[in-house]
Amino acid sequence: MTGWGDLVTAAMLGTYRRAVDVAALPAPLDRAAAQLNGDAEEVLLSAAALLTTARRAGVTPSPGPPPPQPAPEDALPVVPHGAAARLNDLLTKPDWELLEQWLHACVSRGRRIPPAALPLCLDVAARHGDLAPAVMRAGGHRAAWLAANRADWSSLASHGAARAEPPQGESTQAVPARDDWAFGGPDQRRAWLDATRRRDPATARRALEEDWGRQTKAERLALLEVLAEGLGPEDEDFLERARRDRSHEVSMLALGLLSCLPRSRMSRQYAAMSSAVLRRERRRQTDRLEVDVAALTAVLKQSDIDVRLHGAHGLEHLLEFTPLQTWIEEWRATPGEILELPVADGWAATLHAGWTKAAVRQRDAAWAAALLAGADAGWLIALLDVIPEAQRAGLVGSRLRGGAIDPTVVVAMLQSCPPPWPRGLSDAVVDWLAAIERSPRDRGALLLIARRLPVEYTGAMARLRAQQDRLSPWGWALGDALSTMAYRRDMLEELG
Amino acid sequence: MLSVSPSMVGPVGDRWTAEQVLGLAPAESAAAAARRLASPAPWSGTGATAQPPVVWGSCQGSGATPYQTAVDLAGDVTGPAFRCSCPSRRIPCKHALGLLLLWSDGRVEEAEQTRPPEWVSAWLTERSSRAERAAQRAARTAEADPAAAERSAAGAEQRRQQRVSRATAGLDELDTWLRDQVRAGLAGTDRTGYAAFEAVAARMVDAQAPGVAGVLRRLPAVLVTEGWPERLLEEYALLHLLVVAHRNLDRLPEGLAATVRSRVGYPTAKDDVLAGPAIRDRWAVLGLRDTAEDRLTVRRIWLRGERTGELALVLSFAPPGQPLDSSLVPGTAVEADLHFYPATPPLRALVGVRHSAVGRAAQLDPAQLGGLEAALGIWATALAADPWTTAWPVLIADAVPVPPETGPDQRWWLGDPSGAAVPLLAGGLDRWQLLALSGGHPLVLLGELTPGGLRPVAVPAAMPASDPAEGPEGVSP
Repeated sequence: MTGWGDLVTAAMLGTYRRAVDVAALPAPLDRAAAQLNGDAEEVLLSAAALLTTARRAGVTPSPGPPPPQPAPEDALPVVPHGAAARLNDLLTKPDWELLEQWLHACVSRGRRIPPAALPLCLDVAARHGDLAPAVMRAGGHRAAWLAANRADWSSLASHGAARAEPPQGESTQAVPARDDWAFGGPDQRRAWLDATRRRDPATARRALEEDWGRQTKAERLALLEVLAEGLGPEDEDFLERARRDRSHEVSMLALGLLSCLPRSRMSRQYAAMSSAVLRRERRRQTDRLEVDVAALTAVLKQSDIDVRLHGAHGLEHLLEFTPLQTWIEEWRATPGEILELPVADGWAATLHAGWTKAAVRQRDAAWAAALLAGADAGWLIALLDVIPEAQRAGLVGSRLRGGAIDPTVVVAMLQSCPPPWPRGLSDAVVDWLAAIERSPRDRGALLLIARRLPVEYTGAMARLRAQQDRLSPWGWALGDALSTMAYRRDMLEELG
Repeated sequence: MLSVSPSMVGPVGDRWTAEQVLGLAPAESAAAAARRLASPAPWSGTGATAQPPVVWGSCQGSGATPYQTAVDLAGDVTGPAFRCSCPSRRIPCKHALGLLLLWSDGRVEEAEQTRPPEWVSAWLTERSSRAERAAQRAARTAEADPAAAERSAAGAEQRRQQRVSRATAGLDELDTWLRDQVRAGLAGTDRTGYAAFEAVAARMVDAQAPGVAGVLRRLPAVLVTEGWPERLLEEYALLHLLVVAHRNLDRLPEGLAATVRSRVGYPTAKDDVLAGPAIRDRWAVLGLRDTAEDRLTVRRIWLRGERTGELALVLSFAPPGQPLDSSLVPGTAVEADLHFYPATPPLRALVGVRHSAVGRAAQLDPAQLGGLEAALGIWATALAADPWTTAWPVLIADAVPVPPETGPDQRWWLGDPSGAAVPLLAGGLDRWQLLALSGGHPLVLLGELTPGGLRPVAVPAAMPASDPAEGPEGVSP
């Protein structure tokens, strides 16, 4: 409407500067405007009111942008109302751990997240990447569809191809795009290398080899770590090159990877040095381990180890990069038997430390399991991480039954066991709770237990609490734990 | 008159859903606390009767004596009535909510023969007699002393005249100010600041024209938007129109005069509205939105008559933290008399006598609702009768939300299957939530048309209480 623009101009300039001509208004408003009388201000304001209303009332739908492609139908039913309300409670609290449990339970019961809750869930998944797969699995097709409609959610769409339906096509994993490697940022490059390494280890190594040395230290570390996947003897030459890196950390990482290849030149060299220093000797009918200090000094001096080390540190370093298989073959014993051997002259702690680092570097589950008993809190998690999840719970359970442990260690051990906990571990946990001297330091473990102990143990927890004075600090803590477990039990019941 | 004694109310229809119950909770924390009490363990002596519709029980708390809790589901105009011997000042308290949750879950014995215990029936009797006394008192003052009634009527008329002349004087001043603005030109108004408008607004408050003051106080927000000269001229023009209309108040048709009065800010007594004609229907609660305005929480509830198809808006106000009217829960419906505030077209209303207990709202049939075109027609009609309208509710049968393209024009649209669209505004139902509910398919949407586009309010099919068997699907095929 041209007349409206003229009115706005007149109003901006002021009627004493600009005359108002309402005769120019489009039909049929011109006839109404012609009846307006009064001074210029009166006419301007009245005509503007007329046009404002006409423009507002006369709005017609414009041809909009094309609507989004409709989402595929979801075969699975959404969760019942109570569960939807609980989901909202978990999202707004927020409680990520229980949310994850809720999501897993939702998936296992063949239900899905109600659409109205999806925006909040996707926001959470976008900010907490570890929750993304669970959210996308529980969200069904609708979640993937919604995520694809918004830039900051779009990376989520690739997670969790809908379950309960056959996968489309042969391979769900897309072929990584070479452009990501050539032109991508650090994260994209690492993702490309990781995906390629899983498909074709040689190509990935060659790509890294051609490009080596141009990245920052952090990037070199991140990229080199990828080679742990699918490591083989053909990687040795490149790792040797990486070992001479100007960064100590990169160099140690390369050395660690080489120690995972028992036939590599470095591994053989370290094995020879270590065997010269650490020997199993028989004294008065018992075997024990002895460290030849003179040999240690000599070996460290002669070797071409770039690092300047001596004494206990030197020995620890030797052990860290010596393939663990060396000792098993040399002494014909299991890791457990080796660790039980007496050690002369107070070297036991050094040996334990060196082997612990070796077990973590070489991801040796048998050694890690054997070392667990004597590990301190710092290394416990790293060792547990080496052990397959299925074995972990059993080891933690027997460690719990094995006697007094520092509360922080208990927390760390239990943390490494993802829910659901098997019976053996759960029983051990309840027995541990019943046996321990109640100390405020155990509350951390109790908090964790309340969140992970299967809800079938709610009764056992209630019995523990009944034995306590309700108003004592520990009784109080048990009461809290009990209500957390009741909350989880209700949460699972609501999902049907 | 306002209070309905339990005996007048029919039997409790459907048992409530958990969401209906939780809808009564004054705060989210109360809902969480109630959920913890919704297990049989702490409860004893629970029972419920359909006639009168009450639920009761005793809850073992931390103290020695259990709390006695009872809920009268029929209640009165503001919803169910609650009684609990706990010291909590929340209404309803967590015990009452927990008890209702237990009941909604079918874990409270409900039998024809059961009689409420003594303390429950005593409470019910006390409530109904209190209501009767109030009604009698009102009737007495009206009947017993006709002279006094006349006097008070004369006084009211005098006060009304006083108010009109005060408003007239104030609005004339406003008009002079408006004319000054356009004579001198609006250019530079965006630099005059908040105080200039506040001064005029304060004058309007003195003139007992709070509606006009509200418009003026919102103007500084207009000035910071793109294209403010246009919008400012629109606002000034409509204010001028209001002044002119008020000047001619006596010559306007009654409906329009009422609209003008309410826009200026003349108060309308609730009792007068309730004394006016009523529309009886089964009123379904389509949407609910709480907003904070001027140190008050405002609750807007949109109703739709299931037989008439009429839409209505019920407002309630409370200071923050205080419970709002909890009698109307989305997804439910109640057979009731609705009294509209005088205005053309009527929209704001009060719920009068309820003729039934709360039940589940019927599913909306998209085939009987109009599309976007029809909605815009309704909007035009509303504007023709009331040019000051800034929001009008519409139900759209086949709305398709369209998310912003990842281009420079990051706007949302609300389309229909024909491809026509209007801008979709923020500020109501979250638009991503709306998109998630639609899944790209058309759905039945309650929205408000405004001068800038459509503001989504609710997707009735996704109301928690709409379908107890399955979750909120919210997609109409």
